[in-house]
Amino acid sequence: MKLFDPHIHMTSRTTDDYAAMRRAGIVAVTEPAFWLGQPRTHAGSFEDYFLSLVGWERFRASQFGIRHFCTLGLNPKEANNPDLVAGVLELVDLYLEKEGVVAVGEIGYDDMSPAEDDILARQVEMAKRHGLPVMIHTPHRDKKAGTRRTLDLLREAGIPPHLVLIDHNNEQTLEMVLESGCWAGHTIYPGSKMDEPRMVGLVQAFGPERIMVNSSADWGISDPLKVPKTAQAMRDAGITEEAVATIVWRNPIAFYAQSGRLDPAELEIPLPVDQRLLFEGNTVLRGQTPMVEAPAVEAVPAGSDG
Amino acid sequence: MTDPTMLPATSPEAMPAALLALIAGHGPEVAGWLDAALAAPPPPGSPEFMRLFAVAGRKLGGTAPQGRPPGWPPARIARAALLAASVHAAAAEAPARLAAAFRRSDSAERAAILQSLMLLPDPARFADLAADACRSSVQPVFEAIACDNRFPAAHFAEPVFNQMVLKAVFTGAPLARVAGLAERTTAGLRRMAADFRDERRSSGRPVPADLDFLLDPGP
Repeated sequence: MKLFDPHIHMTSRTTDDYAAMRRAGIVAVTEPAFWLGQPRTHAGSFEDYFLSLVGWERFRASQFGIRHFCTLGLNPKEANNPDLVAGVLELVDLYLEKEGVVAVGEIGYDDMSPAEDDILARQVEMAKRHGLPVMIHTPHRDKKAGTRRTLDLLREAGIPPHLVLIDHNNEQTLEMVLESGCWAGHTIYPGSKMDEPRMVGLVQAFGPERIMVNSSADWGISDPLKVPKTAQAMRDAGITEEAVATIVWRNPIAFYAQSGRLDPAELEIPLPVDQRLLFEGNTVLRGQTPMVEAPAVEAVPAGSDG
Repeated sequence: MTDPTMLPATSPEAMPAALLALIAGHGPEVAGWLDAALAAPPPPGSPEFMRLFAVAGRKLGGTAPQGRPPGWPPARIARAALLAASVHAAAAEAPARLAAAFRRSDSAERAAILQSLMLLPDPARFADLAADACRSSVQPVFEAIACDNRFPAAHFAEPVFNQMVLKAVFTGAPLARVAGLAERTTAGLRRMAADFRDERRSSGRPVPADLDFLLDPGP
């Protein structure tokens, strides 16, 4: 089964992770722009970050047979720095037009401060102007109230719910998100947010429509194989292959394809790996023999062993 | 040695000297160095200030005299003295200057700035800086503002204070160390705590015992 991780911060991960993900069946990822664990002090730092998301990281993924898409935005934590805001929003506006950018995100609330209200609303307007979907981060603290406030703001902004993915859901938020008509993401983390057995329970209760799962793997303790592991947990619990494929493949594609920058038909064709290629003269290899695959026409063998 | 924040109220000019007295036992070399620094304090955030601020850690690091107050090692008191003198000298420019100093500081230096806020002249001016520090993922920096510090209860608006308290629960910083918590606990904070308890229960995970500080005693 082919898998799509709709939220993973590959910039923080190693080539071993890419190789393991590909072996487990992950052939496409979306990397949302977010923060780096500590706040950036200059707007210019965002320009290099955005360039790496549409450049080097996209290339690095391709070297392991994985199609890399990204979302760009000013994350809620750094939205609270008034020195950054104007400069970063200008950059977001500029880079949203680049190849491989499939949404504005991840944007939303952290502290639910007035600055976060303002920056979220402005970026939703930007998404409407660029004809892009939005990818929403929901807060860790005061989550239920924060999710409700997010849905209210989006409704007022007039963005259609089918263009909105609300992420990091749990038992307290999923119902209101599905009722709103938005898509619902779930981050499967070791030890926080959501885990595989609870996710199985949510799918059994709510079905697969508009539901996605992701790893959100980053520089913290996280697991880039959580999508295949959750798919396996769903199978083990008797959820049909059809429903599993809807959650881990069709839904992310259907959502991000609304950007017009992701071709669902192309995604069905395996990305041939050619490690002889260079990016700005740089390679992922350190003296190894480049792996070169013939452009494949057959489907990828079902490789997910969880 | 006393906790510097418990020093009797003193004029902004006298605060550095009062702090200096706390580390007088560190020998003439250290006292002389600090005296010289305090005589002509450079503006917070300037290269000269940042150098003195960093050197204070090495001059006084690692030597913990008997009876020192917990959370106030000598280097931190020296940094507090430097901050008090420099912020006083910076007058109206102090908030912007201190924000610049904070941005250029490492984690121990940031913690020193946060712990010293109540010792600075007109501390309410630094509420934005302190609120921003609550967003730190570096636990000792977060705890320097959230724990054993009278600044948040004295100067934070309710949403900022509530977010800080909830983050303390999330990160395991003991609520018993949040100064002024009982006086600042509102219906809004109780509602956030109750929602968090529900979230933990519905995910089958343990409810942090510290939430009891915030929740109404149940039936």
